[in-house]
This record gives sequence, C-alpha cells and structure tokens, in this order.
Amino acid sequence: MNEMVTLQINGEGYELSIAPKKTLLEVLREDIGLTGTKEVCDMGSCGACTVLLDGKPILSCLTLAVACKGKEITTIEGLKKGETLHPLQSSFIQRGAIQCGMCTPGMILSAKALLDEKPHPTEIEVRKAIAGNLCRCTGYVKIVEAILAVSRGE
Amino acid sequence: MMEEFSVIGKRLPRVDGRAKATGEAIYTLDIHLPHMVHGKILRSPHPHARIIHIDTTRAERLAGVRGVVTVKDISSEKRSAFCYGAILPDEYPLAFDRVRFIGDEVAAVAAVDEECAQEALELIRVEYELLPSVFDPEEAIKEGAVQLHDHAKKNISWRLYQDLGDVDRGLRDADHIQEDRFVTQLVSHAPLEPHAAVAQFNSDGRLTVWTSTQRPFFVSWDLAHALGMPESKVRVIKPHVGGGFGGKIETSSVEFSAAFLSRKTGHPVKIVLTRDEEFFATRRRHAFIIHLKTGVKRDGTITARLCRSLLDGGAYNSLGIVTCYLSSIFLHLPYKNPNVRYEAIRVYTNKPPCGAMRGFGSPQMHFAIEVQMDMIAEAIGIDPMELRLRNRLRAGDETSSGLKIKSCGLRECIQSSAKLSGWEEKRKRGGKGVGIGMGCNGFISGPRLRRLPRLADAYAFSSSLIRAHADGNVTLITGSADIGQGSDSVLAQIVAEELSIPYDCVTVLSGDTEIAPLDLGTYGSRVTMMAGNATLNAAKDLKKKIFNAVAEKFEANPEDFELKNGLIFIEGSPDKNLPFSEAVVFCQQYLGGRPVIGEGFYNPEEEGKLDIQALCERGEGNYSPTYSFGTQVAEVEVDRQSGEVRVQKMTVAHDCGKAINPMAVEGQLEGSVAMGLGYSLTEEVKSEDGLMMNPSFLDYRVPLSLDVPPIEIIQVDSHDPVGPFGAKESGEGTASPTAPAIINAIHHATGVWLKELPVTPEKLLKAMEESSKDSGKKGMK
Amino acid sequence: MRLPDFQYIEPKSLEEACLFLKEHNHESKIMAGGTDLLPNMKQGIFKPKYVVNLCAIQNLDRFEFDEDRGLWLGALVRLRYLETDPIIFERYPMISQAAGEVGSVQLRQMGTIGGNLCLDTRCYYYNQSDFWRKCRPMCIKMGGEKCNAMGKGKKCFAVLSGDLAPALIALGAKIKLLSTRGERTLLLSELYTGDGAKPLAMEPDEILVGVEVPAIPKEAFNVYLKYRIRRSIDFPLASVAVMLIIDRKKKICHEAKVVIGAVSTKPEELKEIKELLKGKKLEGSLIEEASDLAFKAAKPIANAGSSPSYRKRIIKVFVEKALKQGMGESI
Repeated sequence: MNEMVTLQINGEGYELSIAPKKTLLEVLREDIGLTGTKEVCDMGSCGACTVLLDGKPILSCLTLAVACKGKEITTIEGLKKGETLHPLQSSFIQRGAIQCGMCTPGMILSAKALLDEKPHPTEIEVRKAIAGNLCRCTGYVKIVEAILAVSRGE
Repeated sequence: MMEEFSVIGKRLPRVDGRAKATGEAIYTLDIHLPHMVHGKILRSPHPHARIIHIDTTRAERLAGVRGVVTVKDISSEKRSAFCYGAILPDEYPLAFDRVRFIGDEVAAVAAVDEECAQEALELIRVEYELLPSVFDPEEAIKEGAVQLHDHAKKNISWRLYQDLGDVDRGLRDADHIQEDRFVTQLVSHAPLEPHAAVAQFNSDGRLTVWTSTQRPFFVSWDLAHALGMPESKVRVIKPHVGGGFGGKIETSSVEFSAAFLSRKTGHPVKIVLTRDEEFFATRRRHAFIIHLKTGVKRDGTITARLCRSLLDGGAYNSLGIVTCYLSSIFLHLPYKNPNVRYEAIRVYTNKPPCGAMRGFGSPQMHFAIEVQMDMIAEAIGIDPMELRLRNRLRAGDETSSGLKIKSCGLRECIQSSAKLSGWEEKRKRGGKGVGIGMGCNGFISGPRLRRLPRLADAYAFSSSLIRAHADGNVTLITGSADIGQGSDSVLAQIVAEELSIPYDCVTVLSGDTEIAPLDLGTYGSRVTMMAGNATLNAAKDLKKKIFNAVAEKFEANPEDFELKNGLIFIEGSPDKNLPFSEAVVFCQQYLGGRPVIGEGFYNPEEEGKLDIQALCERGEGNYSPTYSFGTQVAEVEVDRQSGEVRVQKMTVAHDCGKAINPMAVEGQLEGSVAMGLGYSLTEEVKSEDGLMMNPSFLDYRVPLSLDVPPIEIIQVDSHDPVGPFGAKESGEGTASPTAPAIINAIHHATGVWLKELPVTPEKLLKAMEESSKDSGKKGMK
Repeated sequence: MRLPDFQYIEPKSLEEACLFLKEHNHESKIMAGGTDLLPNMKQGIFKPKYVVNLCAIQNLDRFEFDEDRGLWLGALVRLRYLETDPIIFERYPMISQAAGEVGSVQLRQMGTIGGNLCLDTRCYYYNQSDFWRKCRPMCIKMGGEKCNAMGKGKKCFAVLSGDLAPALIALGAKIKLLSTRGERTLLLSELYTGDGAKPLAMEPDEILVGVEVPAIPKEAFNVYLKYRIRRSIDFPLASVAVMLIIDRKKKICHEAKVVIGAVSTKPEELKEIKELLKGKKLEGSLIEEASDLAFKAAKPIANAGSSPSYRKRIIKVFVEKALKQGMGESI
C-alpha cells in the first residue's frame, strides 16, 4: 500500500505516492530521476549512495523514503548554485580527485558534511570522514588533497 | 633538447570532470528507456551438473513476465558462434548442457520490474544431474580427476612451454641457486559499477546496446555473430563506465541476455548485476602456484631461470590463454634472463572463470620474481637494490624471448625511489618490527596482436577522426573506451597540442561503434600508445589538409607552415598569420564544402607481424611496441604481538615515458598502490566447495581511506621513441610491484619470508613463531 | 537488491508502539536506525509484515548525565553522538571508542545505541543473499536443522558482533525494556542468551527504551579494543572491553572487568579474570596469567573473516594490551 509523502530535495518539494519498502535511493533515482546518487552495493558497505539528511551524511540505500518526510535532503545535484560549482566540486575536478566517478557524488557529500561541521579538519579527520566511501580507482590521495585544499580556502 | 609543449605534460582536469562532479554523468546503470523491462539471470546453484531439462512455463505464465530465454532460443547452427572465450572458445553465455560453477548462467527473464523478474526466476524448474566437482588446481590436474571439458585431458585448459638459451648450463654456471614456491590468491576486480547493459531491438532490425564495457567493438562483433546479424547493425554505446580493471574486457552474459531478451520481447531490456553476482559470477584474477628456480653468479648476475606456473583457471578459458603467455612475457621483465625454461599450465576447476585483471599475469609473476630477488640478495650478501641494478634491462636490449626494449628508465626509477625514501639509511636499521622493501616491474604498452578469431585482417588497431569546426573547436571521434582512467582527456590533450588549440576546444566523442572508426578498446595498456598515436596521426592529417589549403592562399609551400598558439604562419614570419578558426573556414572553402576531417590510424605491425602460434605456445616474439618500468619502495611497521602490518609509506617511481598528464599519471599510480595494497594484505576471494564466502564489499575487503598510506610519486621520463610525444603505459603494471615491495619490507622488519598472498596477520604471526622456534633450535645446537 | 513488501508503522508514542506490538508481535520488526535490519531484509532473511519505526517517538533519543547516577542513554541516541560527545569522551572513553569503531560516519549517523545492542548475530553462512543460502542446506538460524559453519550439531553459533555491548557490559550497564505488560530492567549482560539463533532475551513485543550506565570513579580506567581487518566499516572479528578501578601508584587492582566480544554468540564477561586480579598488584606475570584465561575462554568457530585460532590469539593479545594500558604502561 503506497503512502503519500512530501519530500524536500535540494530545496524543492516533491509530492509522491510511494511504497514503504522503497529506499530513499530508489525514490531519488527512479521516481524523481536524480541519478547522480549512485547505487553500488545497496547494502550500506560502500558509501556511494551517501546523501545529506538535514545536513548529516547518511546512506540512502538503507533509508526508507517514507521516513524522510519533513527532512531536508541534499543530493549531488543540489550542490551547485546556478552555473557555479560548489568549491568541493571544483577542487575535485582541478586536483584529479575523480576517475571513474562512481564514488564521487557520495565522496563530495561526505566531505561537505565534514567541512560544514569542521571547516579546518586535519588530514586524519578527512580520512576518517570519508572512510565509509569506497573508491577503487584513486587510492584516495587526491581526494584527501582536494578536500584539504577547500578547507584552506584554495 | 627538450621540446616545449603547451598542453602535453600539463596537469589539466579531465574532460568529464564537471559531469562527474555534478552527478550529470550518465552510466549504464542510470539509463532508463520508455517501455523498458528488467532482466535477471538464473544461475546454477551447483558447481558441476548436467542440465537434464529446463521448464520455463510457470515463469512465462507469471503476470508481468515478458519473456524467458535459454540456450534453446538460439538456433543450433548459431550455437558455435555463440560460444565465446579468447583463442579457444569453450563457454556459452547461457549454459548449453552443463553448468560448471556456482553462478553459471542458465536462463534469463525479462519482466516489468526487478521483483517480478526475481519471482520468475524462482519459478523456472531446472532438472540437474549432479556431477562430482574439483576445486583445487593441483587436484584437477591429477590422473583420474573429474573432467570439466571433454576436449581437455587432465583438465588442462592450456599449456605453454618456453625453452630459451641453455638453462642447464646456466644453472651449472651459477654460484647460488634459489628455489621457492610462491602462491597467489584469487581476487576480484570489484569495480564500483557492476556489469550492466541495456539492449534495444528496433523493428527495423537494428540493435542498440548501452553497456559498461572496455571494448565496445568486441561486444558489437560478438553480439552480431550470436544473433546472426551484420556487425554494422549492432550499435554498442559505452556511456560513462564506473571502473573495469580488466573485468569488462569480454562480452558477458549480461549483454547477451539483454540482447536476446529484447529481441524476444520487443522491449528494451536492462540487466544490472547485484553486488554479490558481480563478486561470485564474474571473472577473477588467476591464482598462481609458481615454482621459481633462479641461478646467479656471486656478483648477482642471473644465469638461468627455471619456472613452472600452475594457473587456477576456473570453469572456462575466458582470457586465460592470454594470461599464460603474458606470464611468460613478465618472466622476462625487467631483468636480463639469457637462459629460461618456463612451463605454464592453466587448469580448469569448478569455480568462476579467471580472465584479465589489471596486470594480467604480472602481479603474480612479479610477486614471485621480486620477492625472490630479495631472497637472492640476502643469500649472496648484496643490497637488493644493487642486485636489481645489476640485472636490469636497458634501452636497446632484446630479451631472450624477443622483447625489444626501446626505452628504459628502470635505473632512474630504482635510484630515485631509493633516494627519496631514504633507502640506504633505513635499510641499515631493519628488524624490530620496522622495515623497508623494494619491488620492480616492467610492463607492456599494448599488444601488437589483433588476429583474434573472427576478426578480419583488414581491421586496424586504432583509428581516429578529428572534425574541425568553423569556430575553431574540434571534435575527436574515437572508438577507444574511457572507463574512468582518463583516456578521453589524454587524447584531447594530444589533439590540442598537435593543433595548438586550447584543451577545452576539444570535444571527445568516444565509445560508440556506430559513429567511431574502429578501435580495439581498453586492455593491455594500449590506449595511450595506440589510440594516442592514431589520434596524433589524425591531428597531423588535419593539419596537413589545412596547410595545403592555406598554402594556396599564401602562395607558399605547405611544408613551410607552422601552427603555434592557435595561429598559422610561414616559418620565420609569425606576424603574417591566420587564426586556426579562419584557416578551418578557408580550408572548407578550398575543399569545396567538404568537411574538414583529419584521419589517423596506428598499426604496430609495421615492424613485423607477431607469430601468434609462437606467442601462445612458447611466449616468444616482441609482444608490445614498447615497455614501461617501475619501482616501488614500501615502509612497514609490524605489530609483533598481533602480526598486523601497517604500511607507513609507499614511494613510487614509474617510467611511463613522457607523461601526457602528470596529474592523471599520479592518479593511476596512487590507485595502483591501493589495489596492490589490497592484493598484498586484505583482498582474497574465499570459497568453500566452489561457493564464494565473501561476495560483498563488507567481506571482500577493498582498502578504504584509512588503510592507504601516504604515497610519494616520482615520474621518470625515458622519452619513448614510439609512443605519442614519447608516452608509454601507466596504471596497469604499476599495481604489480606493490605486493613484493611490502612483502620484502615485512621481511626486513621481521626476518621472515612470506611466499603466499595475501599476508594476513595470522600468516605473519605463524611465520614469525616458526622462525623464532627455528632460531631457538639453532641456538641450542 | 529490493526490500520485500511490508506495512510501515510509525507510532507517535511508546504506548502506541507497545499496543501495536502486543497485537502484531511475531509479524513485526522494530526499526531504529535500520542499518542492521534493512540489509537483512534485502537478503531475504526477514520478511516481516510490519516494520515499526521508532523514529517519531519523542524523547527516545534523550541523553542525561549525572555525577552520582551516571548516564541515561535513550535507545535512539545516535552512535555518532556517543562518539563525539565531550562528556562521554571524558568520563566513559570506552563508549566513545566503541561507538567510533562502528561502521562508517554514515552508519554511525544512522545507527543508534538501541539498534547496536539489539544487533542480530552474524555468520558467513547466514548474512548472504537468498540465492547463496540456497546453495547450502538451510541452517538452524534460518529454521533448518544443520549448522553449516560447524557442519553438524544442533546449536547456532552466529556471532554477536555489536561493538557497544562488550563496552557497556564492562561498565555494568542496565537496559530498560517496555511492553504493555510494563517495564523491566535487566543487566545488559542478561540481554544475551548465548543462542546464536535467538540471541536476545527480549519478547517480540518488547521495546528497548534505554540504557543506564552507572557512575564510575573518575580515576577508573576503561578501554575498548577492536580487531578488524580494515580501519573502517568492518565488524569486529574479536573485541575486548576492560574496565579497571586501580590504584595507579601502587598498581593495586581493586576491580577488574574484562568482557570479550565478537568471538561467540554473546559478549562474555570473564569473571575468572575479575577474581584473579581483585586486590592484587597488576604486573607482568599476573597480566600474562589473565590473558591466558581470556585465551582459554574465547571459543570462536570458523564463521567469520579470520580463523578461530587467530581470533582467540587476538583476544589474548588485546587483554594483555588493555591491562598494560590500565597499568599506565605506554605500549
């Protein structure tokens, strides 16, 4: 039996009729068409589906969409303002922190949550903040550099 | 004199960076078409069984099901074309009469949604006659073992035998002989994007397939043959790909099933593997058992090598024959071996087939070779770095197996990584749980081989088109496949440099078989070398066409023109010039309205064809146009109570010739180290009676950000004479020296040798305890 | 992987939740953070008719600290909160440590203390997809006859892999359970049955509403050590929680609680170590003896990503490490 739910995603309201068993990830990708949030392990072990719920990083594959009513959801698509990229997005691009790109949206959102809470983290704090985001391509070096560069205002 | 470049050698961001950072980049996984249905694959729950009967009627009757396919849907004359695997095809995308591993594909279902497709799978009745199974390659090769394939006696899928020089004499001449048995494990590619495909049959008889692949053209050929269609009617599009690492080289049952289901149902069909399917049913890296016997003179000079490898092949050939001959090639890199005898035997077992994975035989062989180098160094009492320097290959060398070394920066790699890591000082300390170790490698830059079955000889290796627009921008059209490594960006840099236009004036259209001229795709580290040279040649061709047109206008010789900073002028008088965009317009007028297109191709057979039989059976011939080299130095700390290893730092030096984009090269090297680290310490496909025990990102442990140490990179430029702008391979073979460097560092820290990967705390603890028992005994004597 | 169908219940109060569970106890699964329940449901391990999400119940995430009475942690206090709260970090470092060791930042942001304490037991042969499990005989925990990990026997050996349970047991925590029949308080150690197939001594209609952690002397030493292969995401393969009340100068141990986790169906307090150390001077040979006791007490079986003998060994190493740390030795 579907439920009527209003979700606030990237500042826009969506009124949806959804089955309770649908995860936030499925609703974002299938019902709304926001495919920037990636479905990788779907079991909470890779971080690719990370989105922000009221500013905090959570795994959308283990979150029921019906449980998100009244909360502000931020996905990768919600980060840029008009044509202007979020500093983390620019930094990832400029510093070679992106390869295949499947981990990138989740990685950037985990980084955003960290910097919003702690604007000047140490390297180990950065590594801890993204330790739930698996990347098979980069070895994390450039990702960590890209995040630290933003924290230094570069 | 060093050439001055404006785009080559610069740390430029990737062309698809913005799309990926904003979530706009579309992967196969993200594609949704009108009227699309979802496919799922029924797999064998048995490691070995004969299929007696498949009954799909109940599944077909389920509401929401649009179609079911099995091997019966393929007419019998097409079944041989349907059979795939390199060199000796032995596998059907959907099982023919037998299943040979848990996960072997039996049938596929298309339904309105995933849940319905899943339910339908459960309604398919398969009657199996269970057969005995064999999982251990050493068992499988014994007389009387269960036979997996009728054609393969003793389950031998392939045997390669190489005998070069005089091994017996080489061993007699040796002052020290080192003999060891090394074992490597099965590992999984674990790309973040699983295998996925969307297939759409149109009523006009055309098939379009979007797929997460490394070789779009091969997928097109394989599907065309299986479906009995002309190749040009099967359009394969490679959207953004979420990593491949060798696991997406072959056409898979995902593409076949989606295509067959789409033909049968008239719907577009999407199949995406679940993460556990990706782990337990796709290809793996071969596990090797390597017996390596090396003779050296007192000064460390290698006099002979005798080696035998047993490859655990899994149920089918996949690309395993290639792994066999590549392993023989890696036995010859990066050291001189005048006398070599090598036997590689690949054995069938009831497990998922092993195929290509980053390094393709190199991680296994270089683990054995490089750890043994340290053992030899210890035995004869010289520094392991020195031993490597003494035996290294040099530019101009030809190995006894025929590899022609045209450029080689190995000496610089060894020396610079040693210097940067503080090798000499740290090497003196050692023991007490802290150690430093080194590993080297050599790698190919693409195979000079294309005569795979069914491919007509006329096919090129790589070809590119560059279309110039009147506004001064250009579009590069290439069939090469960027799977995340950044090849589109490298090719864009090559175009921008040669045409002297800004990097962002180049648009890259890649991986679409309908539009692009032929390219064999991404494997064997061939893209920069082959698509790079093809693209460079296309840019040169375009330039020539433009110069011809401009020459007319200026009444000068085309040869006298130069293109610099976006301006065309006669050499020596830059003031009288024409901007590139105007020249394009002019050229178009000159050509009477014909498009301004540059064409280029690359064919490394110009220096003589490779004898495929000599290669496959004996590992002989000059396999690649050129070879890259590298060194890694690992620093480790070992907890002697728990056996846990912390890699503190990795120093990596790599000779990739001229780095077209140093930032991208660094990214490749850093990623290689992370994968190599997993191979060394944490990654292992564990199975029990053919069933993978850890098919998840939770239990198959890919290193995370806290596991990867700081990595220092040194790029050595040996300026290759063949590569575009002097570039060579970077990013594949580079994953190989990590494991031996770490294992050698562990030895330096603890005094124990580990010859089996991965080195778990448990194995290390056991080795340390045994060694202290031994030294205790020695002490008592 | 898709979740099976279910009806979603979001009670607004504990009363409402209790009443619902009274009616539908066996058909319901209680959800807090969802990080353990939903993966299991995706793998077809549970197919409840109702999922009862506690998220809308007020005050269930209440956190209180009192010098005399200690800590009250509502069931929905997030693990991330426990990890980062300065009072907990100062007074009960082992709670911060244990919480901080769970999963990843995202999982700790979602996961709750109640959920972590009620974690289902785990086993290589159990936490797998439907397809995978069908390749083996149905195990005891799934309702079958046989333990695939042991290859025989009638007992389920699935492992209780929560990080918080050993730490909180070492601190002497109690839990409050609520149902329409009223409230009852248990020692946390009594929550665990030791039966891998039914690891929790809770009735299906009971809700864990919170945890009481007694005040401990300021000078008390406590530490949680977790063995895992990677430094993130992994569940523990063995863990040790140690709480010592010790005279640092004289090195006399007044009280010692050692709890081992992730090596069997429940976290176990090693009373024999408590006896051994009580009133004694903590020194090398005694620590050795204590860690030997831990080694003997740990009886893991082959059902996780590391061998039983190694996990046993690690328990010994960790007990030794923790006691030495407690003694003030830098290691």
